[in-house]
Amino acid sequence: MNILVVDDHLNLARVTALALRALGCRTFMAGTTAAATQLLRTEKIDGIFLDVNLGAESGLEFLSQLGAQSARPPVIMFTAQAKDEIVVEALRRGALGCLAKPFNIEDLSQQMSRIEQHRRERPLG
Amino acid sequence: MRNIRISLVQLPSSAHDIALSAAHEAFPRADIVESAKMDGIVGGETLHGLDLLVLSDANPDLISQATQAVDQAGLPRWAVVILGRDTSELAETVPPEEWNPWLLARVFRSALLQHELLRENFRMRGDLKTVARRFSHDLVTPVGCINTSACVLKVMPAEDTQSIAAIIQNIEDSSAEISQLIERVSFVVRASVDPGVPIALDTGEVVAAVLKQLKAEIEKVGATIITPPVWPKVSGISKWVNVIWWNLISNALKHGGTGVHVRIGWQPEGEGVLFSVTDNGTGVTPMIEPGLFRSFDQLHATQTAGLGLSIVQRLTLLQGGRCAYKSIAERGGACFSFTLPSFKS
Repeated sequence: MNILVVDDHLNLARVTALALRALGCRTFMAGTTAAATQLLRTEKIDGIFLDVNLGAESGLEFLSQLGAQSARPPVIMFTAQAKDEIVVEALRRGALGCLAKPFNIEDLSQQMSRIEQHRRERPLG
Repeated sequence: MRNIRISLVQLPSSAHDIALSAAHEAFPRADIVESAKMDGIVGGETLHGLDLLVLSDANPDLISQATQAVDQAGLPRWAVVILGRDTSELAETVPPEEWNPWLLARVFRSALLQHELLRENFRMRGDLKTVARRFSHDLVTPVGCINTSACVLKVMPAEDTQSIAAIIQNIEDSSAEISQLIERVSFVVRASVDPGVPIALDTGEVVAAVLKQLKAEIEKVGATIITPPVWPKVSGISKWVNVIWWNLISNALKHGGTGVHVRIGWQPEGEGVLFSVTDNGTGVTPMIEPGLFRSFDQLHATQTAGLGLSIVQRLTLLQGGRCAYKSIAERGGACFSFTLPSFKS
């Protein structure tokens, strides 16, 4: 599966990508919403891991923008602030799930299973 | 001891002479500003740098404006003493039967002391909130990164040496990020609570030391640094002035792009010296310009502000200077400046 990791923190994006590769995924990284949008245009992306805080940008707002698209890949939000209201807001805006930082490879694997299940139920065009 | 500025605003003749004597009695070397109008109270043009405001109770609007005025950092702007009967929760009120120079002098001294303690209290509470925010929020990501890296490392096949090297690099980078954050935050807090004594500084030597520290970054971006042939002597604390220059020059290198030209300059300004760091990069977006020099004690209220310019602002203020940003959009680039008092032997 092709997974896009969107995080302005390069080290965390890199280690998430490495972990996903260890789980058998092909990964792409973006530090900004503009870079993510570009990758979504040029690559076939099956799932997105998106940080809530992207420096000056908001991951939740980007999630809403993605939600307006007809066939967008499933999105897992990750956040350093494991607050209920953020989780609720992310789910309300259409996220498939939330992953609290720091996470281990089992947490990541569970979220990947959700993405796979989602793909089986709603295959992308 | 710094010079104290007192303003007597719209006082009736019955109160004016007593207040003037009291001001001289309380602070023999104070600058006394007589103001017949209320103009400038809010704008601060005529009353810039003022410490104590003495008003009559004849104008409630003026009292309200004076007691609620805050500075750029959101701290109470000046101490207020009201001569009259109307009481205010935010100012000391002295009724006419108590108007005598000796009593008023004590009230003035006490009001100013209370004002300074209040500002100090607000600032320290703000600092504590910022430290808590920076440690609880900014540390979470690099600590989490180390944690996640360790988890990934456990399952990484031993033969995948490239990925293992990348993970180890991640751990090293995150550790460096944590160390730098702790060092920078602690530095500001230590400087604020233990100000130290300013000495005569040769600015040229400080800048030369900073350029040496930034040698690798300068070479990396192929920057050209232009420095003045002579430098002034200022009064300051060497380590702090070093940190100010380091932040401003490294910002210019970071945001100026490859081949950036950085011009370092100075000019006399009042009783001090204005230093500047100008680059020919893309400059600062107008949207973020107002929040550039966010006070350190207000940093807890924002998620995005960096530490560098807040550190520059705090260290400059602690040495009796100020700092500013000027867009040079017509030529492209940014100009950051700060002032320090001239050294007087």
